[in-house]
Amino acid sequence: MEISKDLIRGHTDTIILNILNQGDSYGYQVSKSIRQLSDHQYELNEATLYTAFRRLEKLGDIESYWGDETQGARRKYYRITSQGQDHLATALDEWRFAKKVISNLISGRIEL
Amino acid sequence: MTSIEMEIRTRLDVIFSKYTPNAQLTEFKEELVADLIEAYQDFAKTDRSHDEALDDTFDQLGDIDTVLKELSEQKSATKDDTQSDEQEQATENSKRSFVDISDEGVHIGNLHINSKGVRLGDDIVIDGEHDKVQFGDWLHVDHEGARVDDKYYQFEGDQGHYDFETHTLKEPFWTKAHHNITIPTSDKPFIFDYKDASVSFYTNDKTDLITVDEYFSRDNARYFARISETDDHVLISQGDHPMLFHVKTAIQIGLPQNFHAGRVTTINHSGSLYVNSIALEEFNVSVYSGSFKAQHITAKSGLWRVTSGTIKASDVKFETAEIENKSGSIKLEKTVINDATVSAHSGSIRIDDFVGGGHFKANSGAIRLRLSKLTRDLILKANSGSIRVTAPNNQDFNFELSAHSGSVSVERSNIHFEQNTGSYKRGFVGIDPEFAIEAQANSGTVKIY
Repeated sequence: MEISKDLIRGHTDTIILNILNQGDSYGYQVSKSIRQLSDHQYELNEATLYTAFRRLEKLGDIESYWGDETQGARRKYYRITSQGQDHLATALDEWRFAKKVISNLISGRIEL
Repeated sequence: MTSIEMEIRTRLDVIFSKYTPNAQLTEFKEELVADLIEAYQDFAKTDRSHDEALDDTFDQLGDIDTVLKELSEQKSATKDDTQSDEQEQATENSKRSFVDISDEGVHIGNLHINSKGVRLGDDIVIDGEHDKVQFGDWLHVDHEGARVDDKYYQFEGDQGHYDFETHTLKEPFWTKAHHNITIPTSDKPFIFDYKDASVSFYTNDKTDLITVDEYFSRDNARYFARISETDDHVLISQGDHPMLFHVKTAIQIGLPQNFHAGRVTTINHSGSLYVNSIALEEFNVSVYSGSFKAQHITAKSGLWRVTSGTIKASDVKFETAEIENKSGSIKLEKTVINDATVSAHSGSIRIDDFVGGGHFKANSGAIRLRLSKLTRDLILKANSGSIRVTAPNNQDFNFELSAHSGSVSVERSNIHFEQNTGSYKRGFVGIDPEFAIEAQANSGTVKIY
């Protein structure tokens, strides 16, 4: 079984914020973290990931800086801002609330 | 700079070359280089060859055109961008030695020369692999044509076209003679036989008339097509074609609407064939030398043969189809062929978004299929190339994969192996498989994702 794209679409930004909230990271590592966190059940298309980075940076939820790798190409790192942390906290609250309600709605029995 | 970094950069240059460079794009390219190098290193651990790892890396990247389009439309003149651009320059300069000459190529500052081409920064590119030459924004040359500043020159020459909105034909600018034929439809098969012409098919606004418009760069009635009818078929064949001097010829064939029972065969000895939006019972194509491009085709059956040239098609629906290319590649997308027989002798076969099944055979090229749905067993054979298949997302399947000298891999969850060695794997994925994927590679690898 695979997780439906429709189900997860609205959560892309929160997923990225959650990962960056646990430490600065760069594109490829974030996509690996997503694979790992989902136990290989979900893979975020990298193109989608880069679009989300740009959107979040414009919103001010994350900011980027260039790493100082001595070997090979330089990485672009992303870090969460305090505004991003606020948004993550709000999104989490909303999710916890919605999760309960939706679960009741789609699997609850109507008592007469 | 390592050779792998250079190859990644060269490939990115090609992807980026469609967009007008600005600071954001340059910065994004640098970000991708680092990420892709690392992805490549991960793939290289499991992939058999360097090229395969590189292909997988770019496959995983997916379609970044939307991001690029967005970035290229941003103005790059803001203060922040200038700053990051300068920073970028500084990083570029500090991280590599200025001159780097190895077997892989020559690298001096931002001038890169390797087996694939020549690149000077982002501005001057000579790309041998994709036959492309580019000097900044001023000159772009590729297969299709050349753009100098804001003027565009098409190499194939203007072939005229049918405007589907206004239902009118546009004649090529070089036309000296225009010859028009209308033929009533019939149950007999129609055969269009052209020796040397650029031929296009479209659906016209008639209900029972086939229209043929011929355009010539010289005016002589001897050049006009002839029609003959036998008990078996209606044959439309090209008129005289002088050997001594060249007569540019463009043919536009309009098939009537609701010609769903129509049987049409087109033979083109030399020249390109374009097909757009037709629906028939049978649509057969024979091209000896020239490319064949098609989109929006629906037919019960088809037999497509190209001897030398490429086959490229999008949105194709067949119940059964046989597609063969002797020397050239076959590239299809959004394709439904319930029973397909596809073979390429010296080129590769690639189908994206494929619904169907059948037999696929590549002699020296690779087979790459992205399946949306299997409708019958899929049997794949490659002699010297590799086989890579993205299996359908929500469909269980049986598999039997073997490689003579390469390796075999299946990367799915819920796999049950009946036999499992490095070069032979048999079993099934999921719980309720209906169809099978059988793949056999002689010297390449087999991979199912």
